Amino acid sequence: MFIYSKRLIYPVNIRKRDLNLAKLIVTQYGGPYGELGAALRYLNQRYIMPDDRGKALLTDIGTEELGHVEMICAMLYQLTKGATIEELEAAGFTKHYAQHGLGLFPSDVYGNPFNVANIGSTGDPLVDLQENIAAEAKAQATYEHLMDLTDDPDVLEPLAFLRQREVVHLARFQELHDYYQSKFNSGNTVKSLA
Amino acid sequence: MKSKYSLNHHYSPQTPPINNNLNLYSVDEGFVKGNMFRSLYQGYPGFEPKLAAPTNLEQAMMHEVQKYTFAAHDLALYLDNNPDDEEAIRLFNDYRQKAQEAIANYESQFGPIQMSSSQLNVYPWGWFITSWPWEGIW
Repeated sequence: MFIYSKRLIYPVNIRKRDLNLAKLIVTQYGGPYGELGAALRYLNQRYIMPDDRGKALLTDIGTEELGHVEMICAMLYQLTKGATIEELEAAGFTKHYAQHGLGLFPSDVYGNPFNVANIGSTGDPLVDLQENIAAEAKAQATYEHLMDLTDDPDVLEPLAFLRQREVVHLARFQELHDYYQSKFNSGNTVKSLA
Repeated sequence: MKSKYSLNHHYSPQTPPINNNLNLYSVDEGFVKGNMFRSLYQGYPGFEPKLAAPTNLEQAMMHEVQKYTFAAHDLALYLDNNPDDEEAIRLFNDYRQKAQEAIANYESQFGPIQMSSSQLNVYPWGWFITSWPWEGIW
């Protein structure tokens, strides 16, 4: 089960409203390399991991990703809170406003709704881990692009924190992948690892 | 921020080497960097993470909660892959215990952040005492 903690993983205290930035950061909510997809990907893949290591790592990283979703949502909320119609028009935020008001909505930067087709699940632990290594690299690249597009330290700090978590997750998935690979190479099967 | 692509040197992201010697950052530095493991850290060229110093007691006490829970969590991910590392287990439990203490300290001062908190034994309903995380701490 999951228990809520009424706090963020890392502080998000954004002082300056910035609708243009919100239009871009939303991709890490509902875009192809976003946090919502990451959380679902790992929590969905964990069932077929062959042993405790894999089940634990995917559960624990998947859970952390839910906390990242909350950080991204906090950023989107604070970047848009209190926006006037004039500000919405100036920033080209009116399409979002027409459908969602100032409510959050998980989409990519083009406005395409979050799509579970972005979530890899092959039933093969090695292939799923390779998918995850690629997914973490793509999320890291996205965070770097977002960092390039702002100078606001209130936004840069949480983006950099989230980017670094992708670095760590990539390394842990690689570590687990290589461990399984060596086990399979020495004659183990998914069944014998259980 | 200046793009990495406009920097003079060639930037090539790569898989960090896996190094099982713990070689950890301090809890403070690891939290700011988002990574407890020196061997895994990859900064972004042109950016140096430095979390703003807490400006009030609530921010400071929340910082204690966040940094120790972060350190314990990052050790837990390592231990999922390396379950036989006694030193890491000892450190994990040290951080876990400090996190528990920091949460109890925060809750006794500012109200519940977990549904298991004894600070919920109040009237009226105490879950509203603490602010919602997405509102920030000011």
